[in-house]
Amino acid sequence: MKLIVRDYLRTLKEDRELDAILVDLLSELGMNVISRPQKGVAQHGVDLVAVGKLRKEDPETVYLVTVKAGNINRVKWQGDPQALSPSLEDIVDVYVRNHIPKEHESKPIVICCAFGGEIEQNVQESYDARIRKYQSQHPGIGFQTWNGDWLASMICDRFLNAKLFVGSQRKLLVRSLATVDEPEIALEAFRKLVRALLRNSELQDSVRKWNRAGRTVNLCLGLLIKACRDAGNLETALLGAEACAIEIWGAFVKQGKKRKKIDSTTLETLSGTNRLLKTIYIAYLSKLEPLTSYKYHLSLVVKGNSPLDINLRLFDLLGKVSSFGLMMEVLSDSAAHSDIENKEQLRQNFKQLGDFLSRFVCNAIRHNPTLLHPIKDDFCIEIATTALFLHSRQEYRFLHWWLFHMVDNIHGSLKNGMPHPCIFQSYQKLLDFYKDPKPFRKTALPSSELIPTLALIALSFNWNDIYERIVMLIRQDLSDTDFQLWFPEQNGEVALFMNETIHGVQLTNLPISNPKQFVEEVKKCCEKYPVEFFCRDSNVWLIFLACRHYRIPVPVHFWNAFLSRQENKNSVSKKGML
Amino acid sequence: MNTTNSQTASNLEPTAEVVIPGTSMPESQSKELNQDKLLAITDANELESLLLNSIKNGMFLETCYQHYLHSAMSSEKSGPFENALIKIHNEKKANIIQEFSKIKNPKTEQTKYDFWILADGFSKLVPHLDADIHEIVNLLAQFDEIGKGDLAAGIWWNELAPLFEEIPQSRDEVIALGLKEETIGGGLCTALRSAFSANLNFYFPYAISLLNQTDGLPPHAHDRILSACRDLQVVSMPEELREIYYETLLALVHRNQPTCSFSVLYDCIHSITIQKDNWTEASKQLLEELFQINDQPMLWNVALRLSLDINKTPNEEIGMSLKALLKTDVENKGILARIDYLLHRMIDSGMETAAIDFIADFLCKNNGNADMFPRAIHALRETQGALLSERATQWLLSKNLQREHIAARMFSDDPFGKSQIEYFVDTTQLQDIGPNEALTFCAKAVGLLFDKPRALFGFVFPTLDYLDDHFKEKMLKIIYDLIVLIYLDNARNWLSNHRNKVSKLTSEQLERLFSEADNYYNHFQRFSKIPELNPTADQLKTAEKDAQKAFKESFDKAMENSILAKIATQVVLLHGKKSAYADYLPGNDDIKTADLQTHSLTMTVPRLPAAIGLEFRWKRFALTMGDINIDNTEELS
Repeated sequence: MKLIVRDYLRTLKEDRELDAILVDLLSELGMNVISRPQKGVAQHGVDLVAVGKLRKEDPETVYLVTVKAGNINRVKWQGDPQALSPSLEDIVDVYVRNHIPKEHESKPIVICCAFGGEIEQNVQESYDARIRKYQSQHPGIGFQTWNGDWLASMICDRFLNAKLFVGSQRKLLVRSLATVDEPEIALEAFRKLVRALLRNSELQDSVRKWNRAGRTVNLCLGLLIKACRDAGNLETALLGAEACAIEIWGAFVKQGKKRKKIDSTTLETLSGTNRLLKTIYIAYLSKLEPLTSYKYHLSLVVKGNSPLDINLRLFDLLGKVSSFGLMMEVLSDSAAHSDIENKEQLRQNFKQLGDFLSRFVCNAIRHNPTLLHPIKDDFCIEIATTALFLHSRQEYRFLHWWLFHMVDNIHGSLKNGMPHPCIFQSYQKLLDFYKDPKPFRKTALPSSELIPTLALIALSFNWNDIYERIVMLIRQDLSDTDFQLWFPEQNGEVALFMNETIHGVQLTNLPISNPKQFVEEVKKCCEKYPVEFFCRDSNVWLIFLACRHYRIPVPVHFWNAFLSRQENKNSVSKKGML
Repeated sequence: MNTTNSQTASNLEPTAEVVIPGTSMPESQSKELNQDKLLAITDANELESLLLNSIKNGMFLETCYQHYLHSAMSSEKSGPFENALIKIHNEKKANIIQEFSKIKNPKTEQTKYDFWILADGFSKLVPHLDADIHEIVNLLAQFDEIGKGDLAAGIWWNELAPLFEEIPQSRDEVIALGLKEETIGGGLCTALRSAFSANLNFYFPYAISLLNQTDGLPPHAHDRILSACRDLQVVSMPEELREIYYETLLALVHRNQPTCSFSVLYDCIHSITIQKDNWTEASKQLLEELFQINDQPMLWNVALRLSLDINKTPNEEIGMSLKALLKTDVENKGILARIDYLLHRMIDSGMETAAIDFIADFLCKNNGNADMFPRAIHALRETQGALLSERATQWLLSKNLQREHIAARMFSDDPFGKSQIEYFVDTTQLQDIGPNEALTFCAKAVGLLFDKPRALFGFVFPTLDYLDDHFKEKMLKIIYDLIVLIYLDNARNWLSNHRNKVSKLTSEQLERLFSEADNYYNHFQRFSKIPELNPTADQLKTAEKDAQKAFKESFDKAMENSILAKIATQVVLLHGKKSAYADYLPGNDDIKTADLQTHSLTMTVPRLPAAIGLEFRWKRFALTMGDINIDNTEELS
């Protein structure tokens, strides 16, 4: 395990990766991290400041940590102003003299050189000589080297020891790391591991234990991401990261309701997961984005045996991009309303990312006609998520075109006995249906959530042409189908995020053909079953993630806001969606 | 069959015990009695003496039988023995004819000789015997009676042909007797043939008059007469005789109470039709009339034989005429069944190429029979699907039909099934339609044939020449996706093999399209593999199982209808690209090789399993009734 962790640490970047792990580790060691990495602020070589003791017998000490990624070679030793040698000089000459907090001035000072790898041989002598020099010049200051090996030992000792990380969990982690080439197996093992860590009843009463479990999950996710990157297949990493984000939130909600105040460590853990999720999303989508610019390229890279595979994979991809898009939109909105210093820079970053994602979605749909033809009824989740994302990006023209052609295709395929949306989940059955839909005429779509979702979207944006077409297709070809929508129950948040039990309410017999009655019923149900979730504002994107992950329809309430707007002709801010 | 033959052969060994049909004495026993003695005699006098003794002892027939049997088994000539028999008869030492007339019917009595061997032996003696013609004819009639129903009986009469030439009255005698007695049918036929040969102008009208005679003749007289007429060189007949002949045959065809068997009648007609230079309007008409007759399975055989003969001695005119016959009976369901029958029989006989050519040519050139087209196409597809598209395309391009009602009928039976292709090819008329309609047809072709690339290219590429620049541009845009995504290699091959079917301009445009497609794929190759978008292992496994099942089903079905499987005696395992075999002939040490393609089926494998979602768009082209507005189906740009 230590080797895996050491290997992992070697690959971490300094910023927001290795330093984040160090924060977790120092916190876990019982230290008080009083200064964290910040951008745009002069740190004089110090990335982290922690006060505490590594061993019980040690006195309270101030640890000044300078963090460098990977191995220390000539360049990282002395090649640029951010190198280790100038940093050490800064710490000794500037920080120690001027920036030690007054309350800790009396405590011994230890300067720690932390890096993910090791010092290369040609630098080792210079490093040793420099440390000896400082020790002779400043006898009161201690020096420690926290190389990858040392850090790995500490991490294994603190996070993955036999007491905290029992044998079965260790096996699950090893299995998930060893089988990243086979995403289903790896993901199954990883999910079990995350659940084993987070669904522990002991966590509910102890914030410390919850934080530790959260940090361990993040560490495991980091290891998984590293393994997936090495294998060149990020699928497991992405799904694993999604699972982590959802499970951690579920565990947080379960416990958080008992808390009066949410501590910074918890928030740090939650944001650590989200950071990893964002990192892997960007890596994943950056890999695919070039393909979206060309006709059929995305479809062509799906190495399936049937066009069905292309349909399934691309709708899945669409859901992923849109979920991430909504995550970015919500976070961007949240940043814009926050008081942080560099919010303009943040907003700009989010905007660029949003542009990238909306371009991804539009190009993917435009250049891959299979995305005009959902084969599964539960693709209503992906479609709703994408529609919300496109709405947030104000891509109304494109959204209208997409929905119109989708409805048109569904109508055409129903009419002509071609594959159309169906409720089948088994791949074999889908395959049979795709090859010859005729025998499944009566069983393929006895009830549907896709059609009401499409109708709802059309009504929300007042797109009558689409709505009329939906009504026509219902009258002509879906007269026996029951139209339904799903509403989460009150206090169903934990169930949603942990997918523990069957939850929510299925509203049946929706009178889609009668728009007024349809809207009234939806609104009535929204009032009766409000989404009173802990998850709101800047975290609302987690709902979309959970819905997609556990194949639960996106709550109708998001559209309800638009329906109200259509009635009131008043704009509703995104924040007011819930 | 082979096993039976080999047993018989082994039983013919001299030591074997076998009972000759019609004899009561085992062969070996018979040999013990006479064979050694008989074989030892070579002197003519001794033979004569032996034969006269056998006549006295009442063992003449047995002695002759032993001799002929020995002669047959040893391949020794029976000349001395036969000379001895002729000498005895001609010198009036004994009446050989009388002795042979004592022959008994083996079906009713047990004998120590074989009737057939003796009768055959006697027939060889006949031309040399100095005897009353009545006596000979009566004996042969007796043989005819005994051997009734066996085709071998006819050969005796052929032996008489030299006699007819030497003694004309013998011929007349046989004819007269044959017209009185049914038993001398073979003789009647032979005598008539000889008579035609001797004096056609006299005997042929006589035969025709006999054919027109419905009463007073023995039951099979007309069959015998027609058999004699069958081999006539009609082309060398005087025209008036020919006319009479056709009219007579026609009369026989239309006679309410048939006076001849259809098999002979049709044989006769068949023998006329296959004479290459002998085809006239009258004979065409005759065949047409014949083909109007329903419920006669023999007609199908005639059609089969005709088609096979057409293949052996290609004669377009006959082929055309046969097709003309077929087209005359649009409402006649029997004709359709016959086409199927004919086609399948041809294919069963290993004449699949001829069958394809026959039907395809028929489809290509037939201008009036719409009902037969789908039927024939269906039969073709079931048997030789690979060749269908090419032929159907040829037909499509050369046809000039508008049959909406047929299309409508087909649609009502099978709205989304196989008939669509038939509908499509049956309702286009590219030469006379406007560019927008042509574009619609092209789009429909894409929708209907997108999984049948050869048919598609065969139709769409030549059709581009009918489109003006504007529509051509649109069509190229539509097919670009198809070519790019699925069938680039196939399209390129098609064009290189059929360059003459498209104009130079279109050919260049298509080349440009291929080149663009190459660039597209080269560009695509630059992207690394994306394992993230692979289906799950479970899905792949399921799909693989499913594909194997589907392949097995289609393979079994193909093998059921496979001509190859029916005629192939060797299965070459598909481990390599070529198969090799040695001839093992003296002086030939070569090992010959053959591409597997020459004895295996090939299939077109698209670059993608299907058209990644485009098939929906294309299929909807196909299913749109009326003109398609291509602009409305454009993707969002």
